[in-house]
Order: sequence, then C-alpha cells, then structure tokens
Amino acid sequence: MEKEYLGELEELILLLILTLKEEAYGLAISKALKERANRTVTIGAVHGTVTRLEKKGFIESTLGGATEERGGRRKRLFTLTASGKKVLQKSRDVKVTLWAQIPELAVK
Amino acid sequence: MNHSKQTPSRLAEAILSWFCKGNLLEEILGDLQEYQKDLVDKPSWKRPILYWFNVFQFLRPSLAKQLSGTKKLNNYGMLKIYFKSSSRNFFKHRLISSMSLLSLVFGALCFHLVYVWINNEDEMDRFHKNVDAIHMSQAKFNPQSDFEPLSLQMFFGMDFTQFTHIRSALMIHTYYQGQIELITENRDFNGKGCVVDSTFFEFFDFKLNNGETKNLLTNPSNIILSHEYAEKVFGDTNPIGRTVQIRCDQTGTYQVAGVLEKIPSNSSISFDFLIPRHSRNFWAKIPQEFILVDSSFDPIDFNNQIAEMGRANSRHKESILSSIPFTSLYLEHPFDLSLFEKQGDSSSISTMKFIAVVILLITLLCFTGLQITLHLSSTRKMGVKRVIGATKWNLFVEVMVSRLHYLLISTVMAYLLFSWIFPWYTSIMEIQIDRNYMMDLKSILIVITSVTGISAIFIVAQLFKVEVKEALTNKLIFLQVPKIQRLLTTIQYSVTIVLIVGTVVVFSQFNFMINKDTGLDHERIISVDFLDMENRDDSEEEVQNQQKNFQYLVNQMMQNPDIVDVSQGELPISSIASPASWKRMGSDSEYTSQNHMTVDTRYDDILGIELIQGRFFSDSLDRSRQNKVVINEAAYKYWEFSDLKDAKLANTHWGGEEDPWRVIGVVKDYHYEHLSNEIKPLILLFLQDNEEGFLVKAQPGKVMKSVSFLEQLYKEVNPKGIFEYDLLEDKVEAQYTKEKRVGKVYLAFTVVALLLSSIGLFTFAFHETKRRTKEIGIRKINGAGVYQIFSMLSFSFLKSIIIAFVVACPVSWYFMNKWLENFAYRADIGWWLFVLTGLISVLVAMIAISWQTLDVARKNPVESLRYE
Repeated sequence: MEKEYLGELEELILLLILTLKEEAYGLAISKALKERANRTVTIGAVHGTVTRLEKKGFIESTLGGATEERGGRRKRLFTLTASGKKVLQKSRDVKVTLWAQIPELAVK
Repeated sequence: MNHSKQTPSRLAEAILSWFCKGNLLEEILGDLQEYQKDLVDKPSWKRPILYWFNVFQFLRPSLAKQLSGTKKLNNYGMLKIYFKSSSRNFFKHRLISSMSLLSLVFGALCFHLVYVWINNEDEMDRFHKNVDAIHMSQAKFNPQSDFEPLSLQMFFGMDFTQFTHIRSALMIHTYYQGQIELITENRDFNGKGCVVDSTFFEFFDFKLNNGETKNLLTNPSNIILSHEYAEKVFGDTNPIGRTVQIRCDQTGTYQVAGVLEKIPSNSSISFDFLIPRHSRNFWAKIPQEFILVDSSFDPIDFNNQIAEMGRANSRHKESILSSIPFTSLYLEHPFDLSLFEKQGDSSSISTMKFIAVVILLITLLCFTGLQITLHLSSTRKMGVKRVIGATKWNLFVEVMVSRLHYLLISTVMAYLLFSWIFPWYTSIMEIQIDRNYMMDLKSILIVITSVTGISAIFIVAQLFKVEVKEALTNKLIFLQVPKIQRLLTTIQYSVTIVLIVGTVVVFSQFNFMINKDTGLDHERIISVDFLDMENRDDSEEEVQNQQKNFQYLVNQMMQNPDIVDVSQGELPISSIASPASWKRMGSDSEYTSQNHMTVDTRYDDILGIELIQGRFFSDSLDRSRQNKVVINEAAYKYWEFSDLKDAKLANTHWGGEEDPWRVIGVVKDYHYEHLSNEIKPLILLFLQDNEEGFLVKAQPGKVMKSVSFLEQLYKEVNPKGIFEYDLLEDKVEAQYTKEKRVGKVYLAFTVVALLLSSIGLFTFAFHETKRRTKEIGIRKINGAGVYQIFSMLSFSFLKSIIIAFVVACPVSWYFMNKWLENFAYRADIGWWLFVLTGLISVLVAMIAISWQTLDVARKNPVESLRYE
C-alpha cells in the first residue's frame, strides 16, 4: 500500500460503517454523518470516498437488500477489511498516545 | 404526498448512467431515489435544488466510467499513455523541458510583438475601400524647387470635371491643436479639426457610430465629432443635436450631426472633428487636395497631361503640376502635413522584419537543440519500446504527442504574456495598435506550431535512422549529442553576435548624432510669430498698423530685463530653407538650386554663429533688400571661392546676372536642416519683413518667464489669436526621439536573443558535463585540480563561441557599414566594438556554463565515478 494514512472524512466513514453494521450503504452513511457528526455531506461525496477507501483496500462491499422505495435496486453494503480495522486502530493509537502526553491541565 | 414528485428524474438518471461506472450505477441510482423520498420534509421549492445538487455531486472523477479502451490496446488508450509519458518526461527532465518551453514562449512572444507592428504598418489605410484610387495634388512653381502639396483648383484654376477618369475631388484644410477651438457651454476645447468638402466620405471610409455618413456634410451647419473627442467634450451625454461654436480664423455655430466610430490605429489620417467646407467662403489654412479616380486611370499619363496646365496663368510660367498616390504618402512622407498623424519608415520596417526572422531562427535553433538533447537522453527507452514491439510509427506518434503538449502549454503562456505586455509595449514604442484577439492567437499558434513542427522533423529523422541495437547501447548518446549541439549553439551564437554588433553600432550612431554639435548656441532660444495671421488684408491702414505694432513689440521686448536679444529670422533646424537658383558670377557653371534663409543683423549674435571671413550684416553698413549675402563654408567651398574680393552670386529671380549679389562674409557651417542631413551650401539674405517671426534669447533660467511675457504681449497685439511658441532646444531634442525609441526596441530584442542563446548554451553545458562526469572523476583521481578541470571544460564550450565570433564579425561589419551609409555623419565601427561584443557574449556564456562546470569540477571523484 502506498498511502496508509487516513483523511478525516475517511476516518469518520470507516467508523460509521462499523457502527451501522448491516445497514452501511451510501445514503445511510450520509444520513448518519448528518445525525451523529453534524456534517452535511452529499451522497455523491460519500460515494467518492467509499470508492477510494475500497481501492485502498480498507473496506469491501456486497450487493443486497433491494427495497421498493429504491425502485427495486440493490444497495451496496460495506464492511471493513482487516487492514481497514488495523488502520483505524493505528489512527486511534496515535491520537491516544498524543493525548496521553498532554498534562490534563494544559487543555481546557 | 405528491407521487409525481417522487418519480426520479429521467434526465438525472440518464446523465448518471452515462457518466458513472456501470458496477456502481445500481446503488447510486438506488440511493438517489431513496434520498428523493427523504426530501418530502423540505419545502417544495428547495427539493429540486437539493436533488440536483446531489446529482451533480456524483459527477466526480472517482465515480466516472473508465474511458473505454484502456483495457484493450487501442489507439485511444495509447494516446492517453503517450500524454502521460510525455508529461512524466517533462517533469523528469525539468530543467531542459522548462527551458524549451521558455524559449518557445519568448520566441513566439517577441516574434508576435514585432509582427503586430509590421502588420499594422502594412495594413495602413487599407480599411478605406477606395484607398488605391485616391491621389493627392502637388505642384511646384519652378523646376528647381521641390513639389508642394498645393490645391490645383485653388492656385491654378484647374477644372477636374474635364477629366473623365476623375470621379470627384476633395479639399481638406487641417487646423491642428492650438489653431482651432471648439466652444460649448462656455468651455473651450482644443482639438484637431478638418474642414472638408462634402465628398469626404466618398474618399475615406470612416464609420459612423450609428446611421449613414451619406449627406451628413451637405448641411453647412453640421459638425461631425470623432468618438474620443465626443467623449471628451460631452462626457456620457448624447452629443447629437448639441450646438457648438468653432473659433479659428473663422467663427461659426454648428450642430453635432454625427459621431464617428473610433478611428482605427491603421489610419494615417486623424482628426477630432469635421466641418463642412462650404459653411464659410474662406478658410485661411492652405488646403490639401485629393482626387478620386476610376480603375482605368493612368497616373503617369495624367501627370504628363496636367504638367504644364498651370502655365496659362502668367504668374506661374514655370510651374509643374502633378499628383501622387495617397498610399505612398505614409511610407515616403514627402510632405510634412498636419493632416497625417503618423509617418511610416520603410527602413525601420525592414529592420524589424530582419529582427523578427532572427528571433524566429534563434528560437528554432534553441528549441531544436534542447529537444534533440532531451530525445537522445531517452533513446534507450525508445530502444526498449522497440524491442517490446512498438513500431516506428508508434514512436513517431509519441514524439508528436509530446510536441502537442509543448504546443498547447506554450501557446497559452505566450498568449497570456502577450496580453499582459502589449499595453506596455505600445507605450514604449509610442505606437497605437488596435488589438485583434483572434489574429494574435492565430499568429502565436502558427509560430509555435511551425517551430515545434520543424524541430520534430529532426527528431523523427533521427528516430527512423537509429537501429534498435544502437539505441540500446549507449554509443549514440556519447557520439551524437555534442556534435549536433555544438553546431546549433555555434549558429545561434553567430546570429546573436551579429545582432549584438548591430545594436551596439546603432546605439553608437544614435549617440553620435544626438551629441553632435549643431554648430549653434541653441540654448534658451524662443521662436514666436506675432504678426503672422494669414488672413490679414493688405490695406494701407493695416500695413501702417503692423508697422506700429512691430515697433511696439521690438521696444517692449528689448526693454524686458529677462530677454537678452531679439532677432528676426528663420528658426534653424525646424524650418525648411527655401531653394532658389543661384550661380557664381564670372564662371561657366550653370544655375543650381541652393538653399537660402532670411535673417537680420543680429541673427549671428543670437545663435552664436561664428564668422570666418568678411563680416556679417550690420545695422550701420547694410539695409534690408540690398544685394548682399553671407554664405556658409559649404557654399564657399562649393563655388570654389578663394577670397571675397570679387565674390558675387547671381539669382534667376532677383536680377539675374545684370544685378548680382555681393558676398560680404562667410560663416562657419552649422546645421540648419535636420541633424542627420549633411550641411549643404546656404545663402543668408538680409530681408527685413515685419511679418517674419521673432527669435528671442532669454537670460539663463528666465525662459519660462520670458515665454509668459511674450504671451501677454501677443494677446495685446492679437486679442483673438492663439499664442504659440517653439523652443529651439526642444526642436533639437525632438530630432532624434524616433531614433531613441527604435534603439530601445532593438536593445530589448537583442537581450532576448542573447538570453535564448544562453539557454541553448546552458543546456548544452548541462548535458556535456553530465556526459563527462566519469571522465572528470578519473582525471581528478589522476591528479587534476579544480582549476584545471574548470578551464578545460570552459574552453571546450568557449570554442564554439569563438568560432561563432569569427564567423559573425565580418558579416556584421559588412551589414552595419551598409546601414551606416544611410547617414551623412557616421560613427566609426571601431575595433573596440567587436572587443566589447566578444566580451559580452563570452561573459554571458561563462555565466551560463560555469554553474555546471564548477559543480562538476568540485565534485568528489568518488561520487562521479559511482555516477551512472
């Protein structure tokens, strides 16, 4: 892998895919971003990001769950791969270590 | 719930199906439809906005369909690869690539700057439909004098209707700035006005802002303004129908009947307003006369026919009438007419053409040299490609694609740079050129295409010649780079050196002319006309009045402490001496046309003219209109006088041989015509004339004070007139403004040429040193020092410059000698000039190469030996 680091939106989306479990598809992620992270991101932008993440090998997808309100079209459901989980872990570790180095008083 | 709102937009789906990857399409469309359902909470006006915003957000590169063909090896896919590889190549060889780009951009830019100018000159007056059918009348009163632009109808009573080939005639009186005023709402405006016949628009196709020019000048109370002038006078308000007053030697009230479009920059004629000529019976300015002819008009035949027609009038027994094509007036400008704002100069057009060609040549050489270097450094890559299975044709396309890359980038850059530099350029050159955006783009594109195209030919030739085996071994790089590059660099430098020598010669010539002694004490001389109103009548009363005024003026001026001296005489340098037929008495020589000027007794004091022999006119010994003359040295030599005892001259007009003129003195030569002219024989006559202009010499530092004093005095004598004055210093200064301007342009282009050549040399050095890195490492190990290596390398580059210098010197010497023959007084082309040029080019070359050579020479040999 050439680039192992994660962008901020990428990280958020990875986390949301984990929290959304079975229901992690484009529109749902976009909605969750609005509700939980208070960020307005268009579906197109979400699709762009997940495509990129998939290319990087952090997530994989399966097709399923066609509903009537989607005009009978299937959803692309995402799950994290092992390297996706690893990269999230790593990103958290970096932040935790950094936070640990800051004395409590320094941040208010 | 409104169901119709919920059906997904067909258009949106069509766009997305066209754009997005097939395997993603299903979920995208699904998500979108679901999203649309969610939108029902939003206000209805917001729904389509949000929906379409989301649709467009899908149009991003990562979701786009792969261009079909990448998977298969079809031409389109290859083309993409070529583009990729050519841009990679660009960044890999950043230095050479950006230098090539730079040379291309600068070359095209400079070429186009010159071209724009030349084009404007070539297109001069071409926008008049009938321009080739317009001729101007000219005449001379005796065979010795020069032609003057006189109206044949007015002076010789010519009737043009008797000639079937002449369709119409036009007279124009031109009042320039300061001679005419336009008054509206109590505000005075200066301007250049032309008083024209109603046929004006048959001759010249100036367009009206709106409406037809036809019949506009037939109404005697109409006036037509130019676009700029209308803006200046009336601002944003509509000028049509407004009344204005005109004041010159006539006064009148006119109504604005039309506003012309902006006068194009390729019009040699310019004016601020047009007045119908028949609105008054008399206009004091001498008019020019034009005739419009039909296609079967033969100018030679016509000139022969009319030549002696003026002799019917007993006053003009020797007169010769003629006509001259309007188109020749711009370049040859035989007359100094205020109607024409601009004058062309055929010699600077040809010089500029030469510069354009040189710049183009250098650009071509530089770019080709750089590209060959670049190409040779990738011969191995080409070889590998051939082994894998690329045909020569494939490689050819690859070269072409990389050319296309350069072409696009440099065209855009050159065009933007041109747009940025253009206003500055025109103000330096003091020219007016209207921009033509399409033409600019086209011409820049053509230049760049041809340069890249020609350079591609070399590379393609190389491509087809080279065998795979050769390409794969390094043999080629080592053998061919220096040879070709050395040759190109040498040619480039020879051309550049020719240009440098040219510029230095041009500059030293201009400098020589500017600093040349006029032979006059020209400081603080004010020239002013008091009594020169042309429409004064000759009545007894008027003459007496003038005499009184004249005495009053002289007294007033002499009493002013700021004024040193006053003389009546013609202002040298700017006014043109009048020719007449003179001959030496007592010799067999024929009458020849020689110049004379009228002076008074103080003329020599005021201008600091030195006397060599005899005496100047003096108040005690001479009176006006006696047959005595003072001549200059040139005249003394011309007529081979040995002393002044019996020196006499005869004039055909004034008395002939029965009543000769005695030469009483000889003055040292001084410039009385344009400074570039050789000083010709001159005869000074003492003719006092009240109407003659005054020359006033002011005290040091009191010039402007004296001018305002003279203005007051002028207002006293001519309450209605407009005060004008000239300073001799300005006139001397103005003699060479054009030369100075042209010099600046030459200098700029020479610097560009030198820069381009340096770029070529720099890259040559870059590659050569790279190629020899190993060799230098070995030399250093064997004991060579930094200095030895540096001088060895430098000399190998300087060799081509020395060769170029040797080739260029005689060539430039020949050309510049030819050029200098245009001048009566020439600066020498001294040896120092070539030394200077040599030094400049070597210095610039050293700067260009020492960056590389010093770097290599100081390298640790361990590094250079490891280098591969």
